[in-house]
Amino acid sequence: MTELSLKQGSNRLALAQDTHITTLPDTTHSLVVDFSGEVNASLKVNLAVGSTLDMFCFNTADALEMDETYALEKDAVLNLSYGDLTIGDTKRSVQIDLQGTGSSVQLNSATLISKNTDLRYQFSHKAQHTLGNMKNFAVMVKDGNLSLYAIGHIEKTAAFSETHQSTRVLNLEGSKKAAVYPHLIIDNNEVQASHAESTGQMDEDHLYYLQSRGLNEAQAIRLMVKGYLSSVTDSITDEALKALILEKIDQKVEEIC
Amino acid sequence: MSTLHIQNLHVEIEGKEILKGVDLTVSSGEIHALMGPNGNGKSTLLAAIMGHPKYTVTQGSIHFDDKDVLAMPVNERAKLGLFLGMQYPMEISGVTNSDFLKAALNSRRTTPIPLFTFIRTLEKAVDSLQMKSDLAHRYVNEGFSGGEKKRNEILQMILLEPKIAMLDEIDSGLDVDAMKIVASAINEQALKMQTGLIIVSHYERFYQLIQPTHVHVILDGRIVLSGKSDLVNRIDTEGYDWIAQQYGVQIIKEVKTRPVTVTTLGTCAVKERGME
Repeated sequence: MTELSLKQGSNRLALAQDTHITTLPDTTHSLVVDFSGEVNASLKVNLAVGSTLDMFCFNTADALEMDETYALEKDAVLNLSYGDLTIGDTKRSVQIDLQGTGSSVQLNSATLISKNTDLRYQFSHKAQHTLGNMKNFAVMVKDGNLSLYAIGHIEKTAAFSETHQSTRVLNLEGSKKAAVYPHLIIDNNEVQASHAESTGQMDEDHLYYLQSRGLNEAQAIRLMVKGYLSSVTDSITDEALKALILEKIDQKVEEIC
Repeated sequence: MSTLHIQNLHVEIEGKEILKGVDLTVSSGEIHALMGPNGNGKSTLLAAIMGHPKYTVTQGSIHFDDKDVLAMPVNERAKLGLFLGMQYPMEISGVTNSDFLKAALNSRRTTPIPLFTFIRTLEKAVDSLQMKSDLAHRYVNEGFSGGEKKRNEILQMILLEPKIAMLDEIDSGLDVDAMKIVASAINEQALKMQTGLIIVSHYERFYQLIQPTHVHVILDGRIVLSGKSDLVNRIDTEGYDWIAQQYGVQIIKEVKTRPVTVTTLGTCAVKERGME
């Protein structure tokens, strides 16, 4: 197990083995985690009281199997983004425990699915005044097969908490199966919760609009898929990193779509 | 010199015939006003020329010079030099205006437009329409006001330099000042490029700003009357009933369908325990 205590400001890590990460109390950190090659590992992250972590997981692995847990102390803030631009199988289980009062998580994922992809994202609200917000974007390309569990669990001890989730799946020609399982488990009455799911083809009117400006169908689809996926970079403040990710998205989309 | 030539055009949408034989010829440098009450086929004509997938042409022909427009996919029509400024421009989340416009320009070129040239061209057009300078980085029409969306349509027209441009109620949603700005940008472009224009508007004021060389009235899917710009004034004061009477046509009354609210929310907000 690799132990890593984050320093204030930017951090970068290529993850290849089991890792345990901790933050400093009342400190803001950013972390980019790169996944490449074949990865089969676990990740534990502890967010100390009052700490903020902006974390971006950049998956270009040939095959990925990750088991991730996050524990948030009082008033900790986690902004967690996943960019999955892999053409290999992906399996990821993410457990986020909002165990400190006032802790919050924003999870964004953008996933290009061309193989078997098995995702599970769970928020467990254990303390009062906790907030969880999840946004998943998935694009299914040829031979893509997706199973996605999105779970928000507000426990009895977590009054005045909020949990929200939305998942959008775009199916392109030749994709196999997209299964999304949204769950809200609510054990306290003083809470707010919502979920929204949509799955569908490319919007015909959007395609027409782009084509009416000269783009052919393939160009229009690629432009929209890039747009769909690049929304995951919206919360990234590091401009160089953002540019790098957008460039990778461009490359992958040109390659796959 | 280019000419768009429409002959005996019949168009259906979902099995219902909207256009019942339209003949229209538009050449470079001409400005054609298309008037008529809502629901009589103005937008259908423009959408059919551009190739909207929901509209089916059942009879007739559209030629651009000697090219058969109906045989072409939408993007080829655009590359040929046709442009449609839409009444309800699409909002496309995640796609920036910059990427969109670059892709549109590049679709007409063999080598990609140099970045500097693109930025300069875009800035000039943004200035001429007095739009906000952050336009390039915003998503296509997302969060735009009605007026901003219409300006964005004209911006695209300026950048793409079509030979024949069709503008569908491009003045709706614009206040008086914005209408002047947009009209002057259209006039400048039309003069510079000798663009042929087909303009759909309900407002005499807009036709004062962009003065048509030809005026047509569409009733019940046909052009029943064509004339000069004085026709605009007469319609403005007297409406369409006299034309319907004189030519023995029934004006189609637009049926407003109640918008259906689509919600993606699941039926359960609170889930029972016991799931895996």
